[in-house]
Amino acid sequence: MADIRIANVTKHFGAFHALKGIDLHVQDQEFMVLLGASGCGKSTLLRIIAGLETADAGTVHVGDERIDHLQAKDRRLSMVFQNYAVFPHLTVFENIAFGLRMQKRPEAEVKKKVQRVAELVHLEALLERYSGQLSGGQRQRVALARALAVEPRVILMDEPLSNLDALLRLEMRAELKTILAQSKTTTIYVTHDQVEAMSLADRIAIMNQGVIVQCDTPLEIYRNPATTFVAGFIGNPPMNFVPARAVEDGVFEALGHRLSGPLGHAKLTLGIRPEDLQSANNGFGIDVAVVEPLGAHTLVTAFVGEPRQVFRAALDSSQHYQAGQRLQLIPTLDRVRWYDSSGHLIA
Amino acid sequence: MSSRWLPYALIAPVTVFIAALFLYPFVMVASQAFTGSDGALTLAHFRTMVDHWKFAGALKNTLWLAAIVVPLQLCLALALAQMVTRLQRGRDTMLYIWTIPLGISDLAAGIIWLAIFEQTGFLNTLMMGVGVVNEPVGFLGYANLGTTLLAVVMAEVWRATAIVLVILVSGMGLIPKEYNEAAEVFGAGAWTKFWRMTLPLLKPSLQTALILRTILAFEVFAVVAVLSGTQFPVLMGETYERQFTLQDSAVASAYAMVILGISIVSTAFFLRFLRTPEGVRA
Amino acid sequence: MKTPVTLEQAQLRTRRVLLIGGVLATAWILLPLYFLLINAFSSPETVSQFPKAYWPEGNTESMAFLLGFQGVISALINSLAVAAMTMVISIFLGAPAGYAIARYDFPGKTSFRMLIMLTRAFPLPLLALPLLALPLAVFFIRHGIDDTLWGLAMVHSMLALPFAVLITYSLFSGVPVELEEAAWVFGCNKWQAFTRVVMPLAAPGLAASAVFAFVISWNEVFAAAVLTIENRTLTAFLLQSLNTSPVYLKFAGGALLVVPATIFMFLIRKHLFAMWGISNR
Repeated sequence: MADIRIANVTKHFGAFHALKGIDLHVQDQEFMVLLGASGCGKSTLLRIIAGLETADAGTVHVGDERIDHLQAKDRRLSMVFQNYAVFPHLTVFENIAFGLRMQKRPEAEVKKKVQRVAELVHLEALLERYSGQLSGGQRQRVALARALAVEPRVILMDEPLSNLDALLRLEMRAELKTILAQSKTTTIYVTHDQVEAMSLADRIAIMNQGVIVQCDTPLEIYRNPATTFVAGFIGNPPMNFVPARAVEDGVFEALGHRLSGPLGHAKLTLGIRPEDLQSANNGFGIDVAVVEPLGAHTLVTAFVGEPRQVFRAALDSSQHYQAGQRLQLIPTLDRVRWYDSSGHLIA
Repeated sequence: MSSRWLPYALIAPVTVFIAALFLYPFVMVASQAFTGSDGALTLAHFRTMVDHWKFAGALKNTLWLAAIVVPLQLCLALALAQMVTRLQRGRDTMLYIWTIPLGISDLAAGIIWLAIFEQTGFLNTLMMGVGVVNEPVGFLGYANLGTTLLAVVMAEVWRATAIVLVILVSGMGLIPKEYNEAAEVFGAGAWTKFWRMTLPLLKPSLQTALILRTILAFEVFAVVAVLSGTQFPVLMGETYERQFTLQDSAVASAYAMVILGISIVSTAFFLRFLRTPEGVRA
Repeated sequence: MKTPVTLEQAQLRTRRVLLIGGVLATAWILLPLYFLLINAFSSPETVSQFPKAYWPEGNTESMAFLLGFQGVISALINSLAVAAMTMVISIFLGAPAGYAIARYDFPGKTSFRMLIMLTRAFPLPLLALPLLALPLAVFFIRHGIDDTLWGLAMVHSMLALPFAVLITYSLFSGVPVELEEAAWVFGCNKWQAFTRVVMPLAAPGLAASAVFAFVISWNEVFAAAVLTIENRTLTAFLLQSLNTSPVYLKFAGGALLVVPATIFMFLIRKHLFAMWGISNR
């Protein structure tokens, strides 16, 4: 069993409070993504699990074994680094074999495992090359192969795709998903790219300023973001937020439209995603400012309210819209989300 | 506008200077070594040099000294460089202190270690103070060539390790720390990391440091002069003797050619032995 | 399988090694210097005594005797003069070259820069300097200009030049060319732009480069010994009087060599570290 239990992990860098009491439980063989903007603490958390940083407080367990007091070399985890860290003075073969050789495996076993993993990542023809002779994508696969060769119980990945160009990133994402599914290893994957997170994760832990804000399946996070921060982070274009006032208990008005909402609140923030709005005869009233026909849908942007906020709708591409036009938009009712004044989800 | 000529105008003085004061005299000294008093090419000066009783000793001493001092300094500098890389607070102070000898003349370094090794010096004072000996030991002087060599080695190690240290610290700074981190995650301990990661990646710096330090070792002069007088002949010392005391420029030039020769050989050796193989790039 | 060493134990061990190693290495460097200072600041009688004391008498007699000794003051002045000339020559020759390499792309730039780099990596001047002194001595003798201070200064400049060019090159590279261009736009000619915009920014580094050239010349022994007879520098004087001078003279003289150089190097240490590529981690 290789589940990972992180309890109350805290880390300061001088005066900077990087991690504020992180609790996280990653299931055995789960693909967990740590998602957040730079500086949120996700890489720090990963490095603490790997043993490259020491937490100020808290514990980390892998399975039944407590590992936070061990040196990195004794933790028997694998890691893929953002810049690959493929050893430039060793051949591809020697790179992949590195972890196995550190474990003092017999050479025949090493050869077999390296060959197998090299075939898995399509590197079998390049085993005698040096990293200086490889492309970025190839080096990334060497790093992956090196991590897989030791058949680890846990793989840690620190933004492994962020240094690839867009097209390569797309291909590698799919390959990564296939390979890792086959290897049945618990994986923690750090990224700032929400598309990567959505596509790869079993569960996503969204981090902001040293705290895990929400930890859930991708779809659940998308449908029910726990805070306005999460709602604005996931989904592109992001969720719209408009202030709503209760005209009577349970009935709210926003942008000239009335709809039912949670009882017992006088003022809430209404959240609705651009793709959950349709043009209708009456609904939210907006004055179109920008029209962007994107092919699959047409993105209509307006500025509403005091202070001005952006409001976007992804509408049917077969209709024609123009700037200055007055539109009425109704939301899909079960996709409307309500947030209180501190940004937390109510309903 | 003169701007097309400006860069050439700016580098002209330096180029002329180097040509006049480096290339030309260099050619001169070579020709002087190989030219007889009649103007014809000759090896007579070399023969005079080799036949002289001091030559063999000087050559032997110079080579032996280098063979002892350079590896010692390499190990010491590696250890110090590793420490510097791991230090957090106080790193800059340590680095400054350990590079103080770079600003010290080799003559002054010889004098400093004279203060320690002379018969009335600090080493004897210390040894008598803790009771290791009952009366002062003679370390220097013609009866004690072995300990004289020791004194010279210590003085040289003290003085010149900083040169190697600086080159190595600079090289280590260029190694991205991800390599050592990756090695550690995959099971490498401290020694393995040093031996299999840091050292190989440090090869270019090692090469530079060894070439430089070896050439300088062949040119050891003032330290030996201070500590041993003429008891421990070395090539540079003999060059000086010939030129200054005996006013024999030709044979002095021959000596200079010998120093140049062994320097070229050692440089070629390090270039070959420590080169980075094709395809590998840090 | 034995229990692995914990993270904390390993960190403790590292800290202990660093502490012990650091203290030992520092003592190794500083103690010999201290011994020299003890001798230099003791009376001439104490210097020849045994056993030695572990702290200086605080007596400046030796230093005074040194300065009063025949030939020392002039040697000192000569050393200062040669070092000052070296400083001036190497900056005035090296800085324009450094500027040219930093700012201009001209054919031959790469090879020129390679040449300078090479002299630093395979220090031909360092190698050749001892060898240089010989033909230069002969050359100077033949033309009747041996035993001159400026002759020696030129030799020392040969040694200091690669460093001067390299330091000034990295210095000027660090000043964005846009600043000069802005000055041109606002009416300055090249020289004015250089003196008003680049110089103030580059001045500390230039000063450091000059000081380094000074120290190199001040410390140099071989060429000084070969090339000067009547106009001996301090190093030449000390070397040539090794067999004949009284004991206290050696140590007082040594201190005179060491102390100014060490102080200067301390003042410019940050620039030296930058030049040697030792960045702050």
